[in-house]
Amino acid sequence: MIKEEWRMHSALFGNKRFAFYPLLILGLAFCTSLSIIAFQPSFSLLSILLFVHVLFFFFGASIGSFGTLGREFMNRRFGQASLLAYSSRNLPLSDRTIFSVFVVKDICYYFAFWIIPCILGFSLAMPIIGIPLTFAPVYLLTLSLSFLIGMSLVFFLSMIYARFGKWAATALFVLLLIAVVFNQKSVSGYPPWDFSITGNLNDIWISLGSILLFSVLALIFVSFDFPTKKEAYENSLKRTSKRFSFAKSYALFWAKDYIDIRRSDGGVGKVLFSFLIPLLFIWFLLPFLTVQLRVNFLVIFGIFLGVLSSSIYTQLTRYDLFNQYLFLPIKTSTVLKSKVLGYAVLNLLSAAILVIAALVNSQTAFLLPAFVQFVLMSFFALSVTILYTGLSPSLMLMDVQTLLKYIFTIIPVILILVFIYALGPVIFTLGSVGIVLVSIILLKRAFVKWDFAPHQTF
Amino acid sequence: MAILEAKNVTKKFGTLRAVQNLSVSVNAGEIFGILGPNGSGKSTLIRCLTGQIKPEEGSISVLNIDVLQDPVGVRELVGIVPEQENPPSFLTAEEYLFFVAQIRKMKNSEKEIDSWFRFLEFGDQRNILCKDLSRGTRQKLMVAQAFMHKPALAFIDEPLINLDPVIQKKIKEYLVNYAKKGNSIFISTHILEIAGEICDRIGILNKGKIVYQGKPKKDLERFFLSSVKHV
Ligand SMILES: Nc1ncnc2c1ncn2[C@@H]1O[C@H](COP(=O)(O)OP(=O)(O)OP(=O)(O)O)[C@@H](O)[C@H]1O
Ligand SMILES: [Mg+2]
Repeated sequence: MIKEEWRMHSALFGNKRFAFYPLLILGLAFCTSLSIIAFQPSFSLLSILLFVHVLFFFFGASIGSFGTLGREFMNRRFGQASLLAYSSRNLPLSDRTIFSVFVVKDICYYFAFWIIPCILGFSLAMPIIGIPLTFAPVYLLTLSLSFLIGMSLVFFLSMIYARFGKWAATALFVLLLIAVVFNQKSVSGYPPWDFSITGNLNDIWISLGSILLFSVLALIFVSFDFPTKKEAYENSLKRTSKRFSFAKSYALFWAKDYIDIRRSDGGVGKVLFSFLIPLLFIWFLLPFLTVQLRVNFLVIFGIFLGVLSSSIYTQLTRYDLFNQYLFLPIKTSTVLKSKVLGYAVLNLLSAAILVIAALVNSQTAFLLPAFVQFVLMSFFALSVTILYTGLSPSLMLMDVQTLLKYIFTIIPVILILVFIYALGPVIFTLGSVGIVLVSIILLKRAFVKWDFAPHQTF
Repeated sequence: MAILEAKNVTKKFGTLRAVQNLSVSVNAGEIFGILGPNGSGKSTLIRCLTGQIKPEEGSISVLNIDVLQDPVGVRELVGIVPEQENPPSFLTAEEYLFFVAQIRKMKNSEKEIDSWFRFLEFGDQRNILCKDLSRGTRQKLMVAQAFMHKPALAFIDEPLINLDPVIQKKIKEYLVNYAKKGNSIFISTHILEIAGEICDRIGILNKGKIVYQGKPKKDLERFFLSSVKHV
């Protein structure tokens, strides 16, 4: 996700502003940890630690899909930009070596910009419940391990996906999931977490062993599909846009988006992955939080589902640039509108997930308010994303200032949604209407803004 | 009759005046060449004239449309070959032309697309993804894209730079014939021979200012060097 853009980002926004990124992350991690601890006095240290370790596992998992990137690594990401990748045919280095270097570089980037600041922020908040700062090195170790386990596991799975197809990867994933679900005991004994409590050295060996095993296997079997082989495709734009003809004047743009995603490396799988992994995370951890908050699980889930869904917009815009359209007789807002509609349709998927969540938790009674919350949040998050980032969310959200603006616009609305729900149906209805109106206004402003933007940087 | 008329156009990027108080006009049936050193503002001028960016000052009228009022309306009528060719990455060349044809609401675009692929000698390249095409081929694609709908005025920013001699010659001839039919072309180029050969009039740009506008002089190279140096 982020890794694809950070180089471009640092070139675009200058290194100075970029250097604040770790500080920002540290601050955010500190505040989040503090608020979790403050909101949840009944939380035991054990559960907080488990929560954080699982969080880092999922973080690693969400960025670990190197395995499908064999080609992209060489081509899109680094191809033109990086001398190293270009010289891969001139230097006496194997593809695998260069690929490994890229993976290691990526990991270093995540550690410098995310992992270490997060862990420090977390450790700084811990003294509040009496855990001295001297424990920071322990967490640094165990949380890093947890991150790496998640990452190497997904690296491995994504390699399987690229090599043996989606069914093999899904089967393996399901097997692993079943193994975890049926061994609840071994989950509670998640090695890095266990070490942070018991100091049992075996945990470290198990963690390191599995990281090594997964990544070495992945590195050995990862396949490189070089762009030297130019694939020919038959013209499917016409056919595809006919299929989308119900979208009227936007059919053409939908067809283009559809083709882009289908033909991009990793394709639909990657899109689903980047959405489903954080979702899984929320699914597993929310019940745990909401019990303490005494707010209905499903309603909170709806809100977070809404925030996550806005990442669909990022996927829809991944292959668009302003300047692709600038010389054509078309307004940027027309392209944006086609994305908004596509987004609305794809949100049906998220809605389905919400229904499943209601059924699984036997909370269908709360489905309506949860659904309203989901729609409100999703629409609002979309409007804000478009207003701040236009057609380039994945790139622009790497700018600290834009990211901060985004976060500080989204968080209050999450809180407002929780509060108006708690205040009863009348306030909830009024508040909902208010949020819809605000979202519409923001969206309209966004359209005007991007139609008249100077378009210089992109 | 002037079909493009720009008066006192100024475009700033921060404190830099990329185009300064510039006036230029192009007549129907004319090939107008804009010359100038790197960074003199040729591409910026073209982007202003086609409503891609908004100048701070000045007025621009193209085919009787006020560009500042209706930039999209202007782009419906003209064709543009941008300086950087970056067609959408996962469409094939053929799909890309179809995409543009649809945006331009062209009827019977398939025939037109076929004839362009034949004319520019695409061969099997038409079914290759744009991102996998060579630079020259991408540039050819952008030329096809700009002329497909037979615009009365086309802006082309360095169209020949990566093309092989055969294609260069073909396109040059095409441009000359195209103008003979009463259409106009606004072309920016570094290749002085081309300017001397095909342009009816030229403008020489230096540091955002136009230092000469008129018939191409006999010894264009010497003239170009001296006019750029004097300012
Ligand atoms: N988006 C932008 N932001 C800031 N400055 C810009 C931008 N685009 C162009 N410039 C500046 O404006 C000036 C003119 O640039 P322009 O691209 O128009 O020159 P050019 O004559 O087309 O050059 P070349 O022959 O190299 O294509 C340059 O100094 C350039 O750095
Ligand atoms: Mg230029």
